[in-house]
Amino acid sequence: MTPEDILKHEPRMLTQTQREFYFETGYISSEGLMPKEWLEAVRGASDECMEDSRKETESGGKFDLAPEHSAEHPHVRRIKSPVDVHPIFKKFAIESPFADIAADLVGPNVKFHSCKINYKHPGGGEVVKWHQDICFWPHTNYSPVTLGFYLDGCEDAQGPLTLIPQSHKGDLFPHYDDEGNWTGTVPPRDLASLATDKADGPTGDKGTVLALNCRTVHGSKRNETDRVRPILLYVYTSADAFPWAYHPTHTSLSGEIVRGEAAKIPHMDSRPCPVPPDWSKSGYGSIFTSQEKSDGGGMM
Amino acid sequence: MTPEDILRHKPSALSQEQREFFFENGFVAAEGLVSDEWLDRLRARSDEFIDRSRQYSESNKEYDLSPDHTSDKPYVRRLRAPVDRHPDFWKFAHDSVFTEVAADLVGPDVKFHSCKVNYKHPGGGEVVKWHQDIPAWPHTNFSPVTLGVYFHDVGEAEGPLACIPGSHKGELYSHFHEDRTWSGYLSKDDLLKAKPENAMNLTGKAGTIIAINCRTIHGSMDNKTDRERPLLLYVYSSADAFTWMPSPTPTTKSGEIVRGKAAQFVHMDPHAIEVPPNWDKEGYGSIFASQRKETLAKAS
Repeated sequence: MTPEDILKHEPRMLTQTQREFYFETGYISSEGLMPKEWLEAVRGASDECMEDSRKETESGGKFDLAPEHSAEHPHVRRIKSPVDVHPIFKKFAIESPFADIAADLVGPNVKFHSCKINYKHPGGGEVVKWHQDICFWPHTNYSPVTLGFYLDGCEDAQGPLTLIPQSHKGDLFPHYDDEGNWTGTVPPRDLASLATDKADGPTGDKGTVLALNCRTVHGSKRNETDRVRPILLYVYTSADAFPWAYHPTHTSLSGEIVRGEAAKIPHMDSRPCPVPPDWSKSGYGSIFTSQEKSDGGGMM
Repeated sequence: MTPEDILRHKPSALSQEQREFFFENGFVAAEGLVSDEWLDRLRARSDEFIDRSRQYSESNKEYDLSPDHTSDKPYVRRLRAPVDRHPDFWKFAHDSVFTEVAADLVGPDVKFHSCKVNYKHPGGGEVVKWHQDIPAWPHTNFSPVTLGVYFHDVGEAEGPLACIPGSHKGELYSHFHEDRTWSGYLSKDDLLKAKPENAMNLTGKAGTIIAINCRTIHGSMDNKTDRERPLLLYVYSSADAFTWMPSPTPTTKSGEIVRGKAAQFVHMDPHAIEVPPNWDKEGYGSIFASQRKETLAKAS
């Protein structure tokens, strides 16, 4: 579906102005959209998982753990595939108004793609360099939207997700270095063409929802406070979008229709899209591991 | 790559006229390209696998067996994924004149997709109704080509593959029944539009290579002789073509670049194609199995 088609459908959660802002700038942030019950349920599930992580000594299928992680001081960098880790996270993906927000941005037929919860620790190294999500998991069109949910809120000093307005209307930059190695970040030479000085990092109270289009260039700085900053990130697409490369973070819900119905005809968008590495052969790791190896694409 | 881009590269096995014929009509047959040595090897491997089939009483991941199959009288309808059965079949895919013919038709960078050997038995029912290949395994563009080799001389009576000239430039037809179950062939009404009366039989001597574009409507009649008609079929695509649904007939070599190099950008053709069933979930069987759900009709 095109933005014009999507906007013709009545909005469910966002205002028409918010949707127009999203299609114009490539992102939107809003406080107070999600009912309190859902916020508390998700926060509770997150706390349970943190407790659970004390039993783990190294990263595995559920958690990406920092080297300093211990039973006394858990340091979880990421919950991988939360929908397969706790039933609340799955319920949230399907039954909560989160999927209705997705419908406002991708159209009434919504497919689930992937998910994670990132925990940005105080002073930690979880800086995320400028990148475009679709370069990691390309689809036949650019409907995919990542919805973020700040479980404890996010202030300026906590390294909010930061986006370059209107960059979703520009090019997709191959996230490779000159030798053809995957870096997971926009190459330094291309950064010059981006309005990084206009970057916007929306902040907000707990429960703030952030939506960013899959083409939008974004990143995040380090957390300068003494509090962990969790963000739940779920990716939804139009039902007529199909991934054409190996899915790096597949879940049991990936490809499932969570609103409306399955597409009979795909939407193919012929704008140029770079090919990612074959994750089935090279392994995926995480954005942290691929960006660690690269020097370029620094965050502001 | 577009046909124009492909034609600008020098041919390595076919003549320029044969390539132009392919792009104009959607198919071509070329005699005398496969060496006697290769032909003998392929026949020998095929005979060995038919012999091996005696130990099985029903279809499995290697064989599609007819209900009439017995250890005394093997009746193999299909050898599945031959490149995973014997190194000679794989060598033929990536290091023979076959690879060169593929490059002549999809461009210098060639990706392997899938393969099979079909056996059309005397008086048997292996009629293949008119269909297009691409609806069963959609790609981001229409470069995929099916290359076939006849192991023995094939005349009109053997049930040669028949193609409707120019049909690759026409519509992409639905391969579903009205109740939305997969049929694997064109409906009667659609077939009338497609003018099957213009179809050309691709006959030829042993070793003849036939090439069919993935949109070309084709089928084959029954075998009226007393000899089996084996046909090895391999599918290749441009390296810049990517599948966006699970393959119905995956092999361990699917997606491998067999000539040239991997694509840096996808080629996304905006022409949409109906979404096939998810073969990972529904299972594929074979074209014989899906087409047989209805009374066996003649191919024309």
